[in-house]
Amino acid sequence: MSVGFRAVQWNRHKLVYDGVLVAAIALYLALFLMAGPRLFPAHPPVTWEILRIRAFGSLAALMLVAILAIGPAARLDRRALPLLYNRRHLGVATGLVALIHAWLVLGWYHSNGKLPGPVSVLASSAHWSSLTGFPFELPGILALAILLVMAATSHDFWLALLGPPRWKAIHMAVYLAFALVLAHLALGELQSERSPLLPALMLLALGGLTALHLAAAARERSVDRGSAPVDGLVDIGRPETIPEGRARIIVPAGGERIAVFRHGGRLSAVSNLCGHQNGPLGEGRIIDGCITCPWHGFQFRPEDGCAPPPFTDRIATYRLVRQGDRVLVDPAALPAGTRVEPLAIAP
Amino acid sequence: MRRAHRRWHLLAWAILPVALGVLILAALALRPAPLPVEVRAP
Repeated sequence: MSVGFRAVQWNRHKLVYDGVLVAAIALYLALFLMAGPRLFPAHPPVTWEILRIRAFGSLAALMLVAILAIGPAARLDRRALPLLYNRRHLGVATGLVALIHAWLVLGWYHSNGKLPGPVSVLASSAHWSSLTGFPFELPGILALAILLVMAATSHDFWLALLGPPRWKAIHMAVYLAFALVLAHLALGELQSERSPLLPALMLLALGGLTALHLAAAARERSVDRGSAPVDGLVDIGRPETIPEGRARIIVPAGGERIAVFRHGGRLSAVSNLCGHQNGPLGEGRIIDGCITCPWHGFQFRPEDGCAPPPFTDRIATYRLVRQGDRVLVDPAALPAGTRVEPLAIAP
Repeated sequence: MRRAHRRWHLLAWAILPVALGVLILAALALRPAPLPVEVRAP
């Protein structure tokens, strides 16, 4: 949401988020490098160079797990929303940490041969027909490529250029990256490391993420059951039960969610999908007269779904009808930015 | 999140854990025995 190009629209939240992120990365690396010799009591001892490779590789994997946990955690508990706010910076940092891991690997294992390092990675240990002899570097390289593409296209410039559906489709590849990282670990480190810690952590990460995502999906499904329209209208119930400045989310059977906001004693209905990244507008609130998305703070006027000037984003609006003491919504979306006169709660 | 996106999301999390769980367990079961360690006197 900007009128001119600015690389990053810094604010206090982002600075605090990034400060904590950098401190956590430094702390993890320091602890890993200090505890490393005890974590890997191998003969011969693990060298300092290999410890560095493992420190950055394990950190990138952990950060990827954190990225995948934040979304469902925020759906299940609003206290996780601040983590979602700047998740893209966490994603870019993950790509950089993974890139350092790959650079250290090239420098230590593949810099002194006849083949160039990137070719040597794939040519040195290829037993394509065997599961445990499969070049485990390949899934790692593919995961790194996905993370770097995601980092490079993370800016809102790319979101605006590609459009939200295409941008979202590209960034859904994070699940593929996660699968590739687990394959990289299972076919690589797991083959040589005998400690039960690594497989236990891998299964814990996989099980934990699955449980979180399925719990969030179950909650969403319960919301999505929806109400069948009667005479083309969906009942939203008694309007005075909606708290001031908040919304009730209505789901027409088989349709997209609609957020009915109460503001200044009046009601307005808009799409529940934020124009930025399809965030759940109906879980946000009215701030300075505008609906404010709980994900990234994008704002829209309730009466016409337009972002306040100078911004130009728009969302669909819906028509409201009063019938006795109840209010109903017409589930046919009006073109984005269409003004609809708010309905007074008191007749 | 759009309704269609939510469906894809659920499908992904139904397939991912099964496929990756099988991969991890297979990689664990098939890993080669550790090489014998040669210990030399200093």
